Amino acid sequence: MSDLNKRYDGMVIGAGIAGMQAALDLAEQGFQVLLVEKDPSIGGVMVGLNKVFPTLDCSSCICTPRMAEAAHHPNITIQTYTEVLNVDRNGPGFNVKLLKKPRYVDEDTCIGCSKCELECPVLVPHEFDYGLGSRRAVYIPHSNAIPQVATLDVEHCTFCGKCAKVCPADCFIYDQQPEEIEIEVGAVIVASGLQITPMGAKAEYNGDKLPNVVNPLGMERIQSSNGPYGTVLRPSDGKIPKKIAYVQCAGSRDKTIGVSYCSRVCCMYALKQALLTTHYIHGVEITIYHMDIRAFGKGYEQFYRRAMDEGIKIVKGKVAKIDETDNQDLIIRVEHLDEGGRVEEARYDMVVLSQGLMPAWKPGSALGIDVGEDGFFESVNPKIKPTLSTMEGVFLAGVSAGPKDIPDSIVEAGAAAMEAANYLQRTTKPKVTA
Amino acid sequence: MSDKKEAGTNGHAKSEGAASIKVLRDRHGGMSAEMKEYYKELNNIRKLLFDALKSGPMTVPELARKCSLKSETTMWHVMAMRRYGEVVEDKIQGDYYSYRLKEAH
Repeated sequence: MSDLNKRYDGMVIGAGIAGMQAALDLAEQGFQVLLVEKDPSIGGVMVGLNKVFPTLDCSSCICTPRMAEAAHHPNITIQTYTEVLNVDRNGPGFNVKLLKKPRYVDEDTCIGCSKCELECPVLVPHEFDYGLGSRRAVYIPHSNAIPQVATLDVEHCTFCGKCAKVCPADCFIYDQQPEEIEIEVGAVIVASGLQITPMGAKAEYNGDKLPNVVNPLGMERIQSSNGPYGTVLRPSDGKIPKKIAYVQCAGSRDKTIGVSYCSRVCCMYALKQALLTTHYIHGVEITIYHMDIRAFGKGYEQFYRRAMDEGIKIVKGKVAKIDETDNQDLIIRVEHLDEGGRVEEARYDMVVLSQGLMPAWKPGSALGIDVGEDGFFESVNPKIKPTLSTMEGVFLAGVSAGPKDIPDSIVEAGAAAMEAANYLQRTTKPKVTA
Repeated sequence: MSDKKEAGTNGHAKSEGAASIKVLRDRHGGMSAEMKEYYKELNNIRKLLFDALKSGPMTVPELARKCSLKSETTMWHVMAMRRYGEVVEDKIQGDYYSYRLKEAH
């Protein structure tokens, strides 16, 4: 039996930065909010980023206070490691079916001491580091995870039982089972976030085969001080890279891979990562190959200028192919668009493919709201009320509705929370307390 | 305002005489053949790397050559050893850090 309430005013799907903001804004208006997250920790993509553009503030330093605020808010209940199976209309509200996955650990008694993790004999690629780093079969996702409790990955378990033996809080529950939970909610905010386009999407870039062709989120982890290497190294052999290339639009604006739209953040994250790398590695040479640079937000153009002033090479060129040498350096074949199509082969230690953004969650009939041609959830009124989905009572926030950066996601989350609050006032007239 | 709830224990109270690992093993049919192979290889690689590092600090390419392992495999394992406090960075040799076993305290 779950210890959730039978009813919440609002349910927010996804506890990344948009979901947390939407939950906080709704909760601040006195509504009871259930914040559902599929992963073992809240925080989403943002808590794993190194720094944010254009201010270069530490990303987790901004994100973790939001996580703590959501976790401690009296009107927010957080349900991690839980999938949304079904959302069915019931009058103005919804019947919701959730699936709580087993951690094999009692979340109430685990003290997050990591003794089980240190004792576990299995090492597997860590999802938080996009496979570049490792974790144990029983693990706490990262140092900023909320809740700070262990999860046992049973697929990689050797069933040695050491984790329970060393647990000082006696919190392992080896007979835990998946549990379906049924609740009622008055409104739903979908903030299910993003995934990046697959590294193998463009076969000619060999992104899924060559270890030194990395994805941009992996590069964020490489640059993070708590990342897999603790410093910027290339994945094939730990070399300190001295020449790095960025290939823009590697997973966007390309009909051949089914992603015809601009992902809106790739130019800025590439410029940010490039600039930061010059701060981390003395004498590093960085080239960004692009179709055009889109620096459209507040302070973004200035950031673009700053990156060029600090020596980042911005080259208008179309990369046709990436191959590997015997020592795992990379050869980029590029057509220079500003030089009459001159073709050049250039050698790099590492290449970052600027992958685009795709929706992380495709619930189909389980949610029943319309999806646009681009795969993102459709707004019923994108110009006037962009957070309204095609179903009354279901609202959209963050990248679930289309590619956007962190400030835009936060703004949209607030708007979705306000629309949800209005809807709840209209349909349920709850007693709102300050 | 409702009572704050920390949901998520699946309602499983920590039972008296908590289930043994045997329950979990039986329910999942034990380790898969693939997992057994993975685990065996993992231990073999770790033994090779530990033994090699006993002779002194080495870079990832040096370790890979000495242990006849793929370079990227060596890198991943050395970084895992670093993460869990088994090796630490030593000096920089050219473009590479060398790594050494962390002394037992």
